[in-house]
Order: sequence, then C-alpha cells, then structure tokens
Amino acid sequence: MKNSSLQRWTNHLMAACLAVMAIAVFTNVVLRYGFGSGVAASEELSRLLFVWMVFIGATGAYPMGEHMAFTSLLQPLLKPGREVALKGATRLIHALVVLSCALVGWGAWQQVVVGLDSVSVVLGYPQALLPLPALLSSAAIGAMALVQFIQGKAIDFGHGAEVE
Amino acid sequence: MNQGLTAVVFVVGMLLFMGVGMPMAFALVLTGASMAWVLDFWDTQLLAQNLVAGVDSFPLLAVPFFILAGELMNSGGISRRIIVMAQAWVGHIRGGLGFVTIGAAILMASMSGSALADTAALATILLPMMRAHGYPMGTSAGLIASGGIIAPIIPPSMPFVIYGVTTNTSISALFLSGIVPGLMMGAGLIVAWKLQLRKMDLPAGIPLPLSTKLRETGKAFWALLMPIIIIGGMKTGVFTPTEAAVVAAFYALVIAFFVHREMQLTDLHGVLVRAAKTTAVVMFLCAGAQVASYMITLADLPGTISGWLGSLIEHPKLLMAVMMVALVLIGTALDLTPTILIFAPVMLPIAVKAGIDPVYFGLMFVLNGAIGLITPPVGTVLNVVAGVGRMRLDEVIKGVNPYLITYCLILTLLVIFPQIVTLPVAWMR
Amino acid sequence: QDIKPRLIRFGYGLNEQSNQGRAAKVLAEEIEKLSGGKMKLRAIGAAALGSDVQMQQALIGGAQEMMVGSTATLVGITKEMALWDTPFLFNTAAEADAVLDGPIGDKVRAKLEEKGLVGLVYWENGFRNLTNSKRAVNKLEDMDGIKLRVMQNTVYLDSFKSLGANAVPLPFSELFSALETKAVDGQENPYNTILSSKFYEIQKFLTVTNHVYSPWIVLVSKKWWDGLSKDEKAVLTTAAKTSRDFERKDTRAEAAQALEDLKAKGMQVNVLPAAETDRMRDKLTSINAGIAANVGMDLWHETQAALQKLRAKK
Ligand code: NA
Ligand code: NA
Repeated sequence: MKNSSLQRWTNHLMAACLAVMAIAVFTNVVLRYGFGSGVAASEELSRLLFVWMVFIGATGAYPMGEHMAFTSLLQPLLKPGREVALKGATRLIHALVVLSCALVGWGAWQQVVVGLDSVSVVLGYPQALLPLPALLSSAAIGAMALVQFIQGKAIDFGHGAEVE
Repeated sequence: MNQGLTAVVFVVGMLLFMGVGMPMAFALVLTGASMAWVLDFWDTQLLAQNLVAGVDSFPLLAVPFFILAGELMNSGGISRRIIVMAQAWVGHIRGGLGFVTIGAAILMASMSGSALADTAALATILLPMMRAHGYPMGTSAGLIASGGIIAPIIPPSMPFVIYGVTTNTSISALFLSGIVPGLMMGAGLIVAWKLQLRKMDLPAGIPLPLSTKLRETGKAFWALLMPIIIIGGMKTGVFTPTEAAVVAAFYALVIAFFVHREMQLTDLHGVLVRAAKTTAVVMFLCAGAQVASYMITLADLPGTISGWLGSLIEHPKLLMAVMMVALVLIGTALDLTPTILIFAPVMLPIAVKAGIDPVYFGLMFVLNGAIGLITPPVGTVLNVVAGVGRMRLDEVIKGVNPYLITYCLILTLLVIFPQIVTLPVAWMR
Repeated sequence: QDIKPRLIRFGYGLNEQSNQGRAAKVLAEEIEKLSGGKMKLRAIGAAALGSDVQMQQALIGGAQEMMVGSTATLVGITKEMALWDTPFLFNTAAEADAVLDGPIGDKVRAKLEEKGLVGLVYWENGFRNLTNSKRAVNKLEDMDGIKLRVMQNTVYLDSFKSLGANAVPLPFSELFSALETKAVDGQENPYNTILSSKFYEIQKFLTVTNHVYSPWIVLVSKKWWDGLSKDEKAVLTTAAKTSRDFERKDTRAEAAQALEDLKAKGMQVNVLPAAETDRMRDKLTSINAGIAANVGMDLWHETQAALQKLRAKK
C-alpha cells in the first residue's frame, strides 16, 4: 500500500473520528450508570463524526480498489485475446462510477446550500456538515474515476470484501 | 405509478450495474436512481440525502466499536490466550487441534462480531500448527473457515446490527437468538470433524498436567470475562448493543494495555486506523443501500413480490424453505453484508406477512448469509484462510464441503423446528 | 379556477393507523375534493421519506412538497420555534389553540418563510405527562433523584435537572429496554405514546403534569409553493385547516381513551396539584429566561400578555 502524505492525513482524521466517537459514547454510559446524568450532545456528535469517517474512508479506499464489487462475471475477460472486451468493460465501470458521483455530487451540493441556513438541534453545528462529506467524497471519487476512464486503467480484481 | 415496473427496474438494475462489476455501493446508488425515475420521485437531492442517512444512525455505531474491540483483542493478545487455553485442555486428543479450533472459534465468537477477523486470528495461529503436526491441510483449512463463521451468529455480531438497523428489528433480541444456533454449529463441527478424523492418520498426544491447564485458563481469565460482560450486560439490559460494543472496546483496551501489557500507545493509532478503514468500506455499502431501500419502501416492492408469490404466503414453512434456498443461491455469489442490505428489506416484510417471527427470520437470514461466506465462487472467509495459509483456493473449497453439509442440515432442522430458536429467545428475554 | 394537475408527496413519521395517519388521510381527501380531483396528495407514513430533519431539508431544497412533523426539530431552522418548547407554557388545550391559531402562532409560522418553508397549520401531538416506576409525583420534591429519560435536547435536559430529576438523554428507540431494566426510572410523553409504546407494562405511576404542550406543524416547500396559483394555495390552506380541526378532535378523543386504557391496564394515575405546578414553574425561571432570550423578548412578552388576557377572561 502506498503511503502518500494525503493517505497519512486521511488516516489521522479517521482515527481521530473513531477515537472521539468511542469516548463520547463511553462517557455517556459511565455518566448514566455512575452519576445518573448524561451529555445531550454525545449522540449527535458521534453520529456526525461517524458520517465523516465513513466518507473519508470510502474516498481513501477507492484508489486502492478496496470497495466491494462483484467481479465474477468479468473473470472470463481476463483470458488472453479478450483484451478489447476487458478494456470496454473497465471503461464502462469507470463511466458508471462517474455518473453516480455526478448525480450524488449535484444533489449533495444543493443540500449543502440548503443546510448552510440551519443548525443542528443540540450542538448547533450547520446542517450543511451532513451532506458536505458526500459532496467532497463524490467529487474526489468522481475525479479519480474520470481520470481512470480517460487512461483506460484496468480495474483491480485482487481485492474482495475485506470484512464481514 | 407502476409498481410492477419498479420491481422490474430494481431487479434488472441490480443485475446490470452489479453484474458489470461496479463497486456495489455505486451500483446501489444507480439502481436507486433508476427506480426514482420510474417512481416519479426523481431528485438528485434525495440520492445524496439518503446516502448520508444510510450511515447517520446511532445503532450502526455498534459496528465500528465491535470492529475496534476485535482489533484490540487480536493486537492485545486476547485471541492468542484463548487459543492457547483451548490447546491446553483438548490439544492432546487425537486430532486435538481440530477441537482446539472449534472451542476457540466458539469462545472468540462470543467476543467478536466479525467472521473475517476471527477467521484471520484462528488461521494465523492454528494453520501453521496443524501443518507442522501433519494434519491434512484441505480439511483443516475448511474447518477453520467453518469455525470462523460462527462469529456472526453467537453475539456480539456485526451482521445482526446491520440487519437490525436495516429492518428495524430489535438488535438485542437478534443477539440472543444466535446463542443456541451458534452452539449447534459448534456441536455440528465436532461431529463432522470426528467423522473426518477416521480417515486421518494422526497420533494422540500426552495430556498436560492439570496445573498447566489451570495456569493457561488463568492467563485467559480476563479474556473469558469479556463475553460475560457483553452478553450479561445486554441480557439484563444494562447496555444497549451500541453501548455494549463501546464497553467491549474499552475493556479490550484496558486488558491489552494494563493487564497483558502487549500494546503501547503508539500501537493504538494503527488499531484505530485499521478499524476505521474496515468500518468505512462496510458502511459505505450501507450508505448506497439506503438509496435503493428508500425507493424499495416507496414502491412497496415487498407488497408486489408477495402478490406474485400468491398462496405460498399461506404456508410459512414452505415459504421459509423457498426463501432459504434462494438465499443459499444468493450467498454463493454475494457477501453477507450486501445480501442483508439488498434482500432483507424486501424479504422480511413478506415473511412477516406470512406470520413468520421477525427475530427468527433474522437469525435464519444471517445464518444463511454467513454460510454464504464459505461457498464458492465468492466466499470471503475462504479467501482469508487461503491467503493466510498460502494455499490454493480450490483446496480450501474442497476441504470445507463436509462442514458445509453439516451447516445445511442445521439450517434445514431450524426451518422444520423454529422453536429451537424462538423458545430460548422467549425464555431469555 | 386556476388549478393544474399536481402530485403532492406528503411525509409523516408515525404509521398509517396513528392519529397522524388518519389526519393525513383527511388532508388528502380534502385537497382532492377542493381541487376537483386535480391535486393529489400521496401521504407516506412511517418515516419512509426520512426523519423530520431529513424531510425538512428536502422541502427546503424542493425535493419533496409537504410534510408534518414536530416543531422541536425546527428550532435549528427557525429559533422562534423554541417558544413551543417552554415548559408549562399552556395550562389547557384551549389556551394552546388560541395562541397557536392566533397572531403569535402566525408570527412564528411566518418566520419559516425566509428559510424556504411555509407553515400552514399546527396539529396537536399533545401534552406530555410523566411516568415512572418509583413513586407517584405529588409535589416538586418527589422528582428528586428520579432517573428520567428526556429527549436529546438541552432545554428538556436542563428543565428536568432544575426540577431535581436525574435527567438522562436517550434515543427513543432504546427507551423501552432502558425502562424495563430500570436503567432509567421514568420518561415523559403524551398518553397516546405511553399507550402505544406499552410503557404501562413497565411503569407503575403516571402523573398528569401537562408539563409541555407539543404541537406538530404542517409544512410546504416554499420553492414549490411559490409556483402555485392563488387558487391552488387557497385549496391547500383550506384543506389544511379542515385537517387541523379533525386532527385535534381526533387526537383529544384518542388521548382521553388512552388515559382510560392506561388506568385499566393498572397504571396508578394522579394529577399534579396546581400549587405544585406553580412551584415547578418557579424553579424554571432561568430556563424560561434562556428561551425568552433565544426567541426574542418581544415575542416572549407578547405571548405572556396574550396568555394573561386569555386567563383573565375566565
Ligand atoms: Na460473535
Ligand atoms: Na459464497
């Protein structure tokens, strides 16, 4: 796995999100059983961080080919003599990813604009912070997929699901 | 609005977008978008909103916390102590490492919620030992893979969390429903391994003295306390599943740092990053699935399909059998998480309409999907074992067969006698 | 009449069989009738269109036409909505009706427009009341040390702390099991919710506190609204009023029945004496000052004046 400085930063961010989430939820457990009280913001904060962590992670996973995909039907194309078909299929995948990122990105952009004008109930953070990771992530993945489409980069069959 | 057409768009879209090999999360987004178009619900804002809403859920937080707990268990020496303890007790029996595998798999299943993490830990430690002692590798690897998929059945369980959130079923009840079937899986493996042993030429070892057995058990004491905290805490309702997960993570952290002293502060960053990455990939799929399932609900797809099923609805057991066969077939090609995310929202309402208990259905669904993790061509747990053991995939696939048959028998048994699941749940709640 | 064929997607959180669902049906019928069958409202319940917050953002963005939801979740959009969160604001449903349907309710509704929403009418969720498993609450001091689940909302949390309870924020989804296992001792909700969530199975004492009145509000996407003709707007406004009148009558009948059912199920019901209500209200002075500052002093004084006028009439 290559370890660019961008990669390092996304790793730091994700680790920080997860650590704060865990501490926020754990604190409320302790407060409830130990002291009969709790922090109202805990749930809202941990949910927001969770959303960010997932989208950051999903963006970082894309260039590594770590997203789950069903590639069994493409296996026959790996045989010699079928390079053209394989290239076509690969281009199709990249194009479809670009399409879905464009749709999501356009929708997320509108929701970010809408969300600038309202705040969350407990913490008072701008509602735009919820659709924002979807916007950034679809922009980044869409751009990567577009480059891959132009380059005709072959997709990676090596990675399946890494967890279950 | 044409509901039949929407159903067709769903099926065709799914097959098309996933079939060409797109990352599934994006395939689900495009399927949802196509359905929105047909449903007269077209607006890209809804796609973006639901993508976020798919992960903006407090109960889902149990997933990263259980993954974190699992990472800490493996890094903090908890998993290893469990295996060493199991070995001290049953390692000397003929074919003992097989029994060690089964025992450790059950114990670890009661602490971890992920089949892949458990399988990786089991395979890393036990496969080299089995190889060194001359065990036939195919069937040994098959046993490890089969033991690994007990993890999502015995609580805690990530797939149960995802199923519960996706279908609005009580996660605590799902957890409790897994205990008996999980133990049955363990018992089934013991029988199957014994049958396999007859074909093997393995020597028996010398039993270790009781003092050694007790010493190894003592070393695993803190690890063994973990399931008692998780299951006990949830059964008495002291914790919700999300809280149980975070408590498990902190417990594993304390054990790893202060009791076993096998981790340092610098290791923590790596553990957090691994857990976060693993979570992100699974949860991004949840995000994409929410786009599709939003449209599934709006189109009342389950209603349409149960209309197609006709009088099958009136025969719950037959319907159950049909759905189980369908799931076995789906499971050959699809992983557990996508199976839950795509098919549970469609199938559960049909099952409920036929009068099938939603918790029982959830257990059967996840059990079936977990078995799919060890069926070719797409069997992620098989890949893990083959990868860790540096073996050819088809050797593992062959080795897994006897246990696969055992599991299918258990599945059939549970279809015929749902009481095996429902009675203990009713008693425990 | 200038009415075009229109499909209105109307989302709500409860299921079809609830008071929300019944009123949504009335609204749909009324719109269809008044528009001569041209405008069709498709009511989608059980939060299938998302949570209140998700639907609000969809309305503002123009991705959905209408919804009904809690005013508490609108506070992040229009801070004046926090007025309805004030504890012990209304003594009776009649007071609530008069204020919500009068100039003050209109003023708060109108504030939504600058944020891209149009508020048509207020429906009723109901007065919230207290249940717990420890003791009947007959006086302020009885609140002491009760571990009480409250919504994840700072006003509620601080209010109940001021009254002496150990207020614990908890998602509603986890409430039943928390009560069952005594992780928390009590909760507060309208009768209908207490009954439908089967809290009577695990809570012995129900105290009629009427400590806060929760309205619902019927919202329209302003983006969509601005494209409607005058006649179409009139159809929606009239239909919404009809649905409101039906909904309040229906909800009140249901609540009265729910209280009887709760008694029949064995809950021990007591009414908090008026003198104790006053003592509790005194305890909440600083909370009220906070709300007043938040919604604006003018609006706050206007509300208090209107209430005094209403109370003097009697
Ligand atoms: Na488990
Ligand atoms: Na499979």
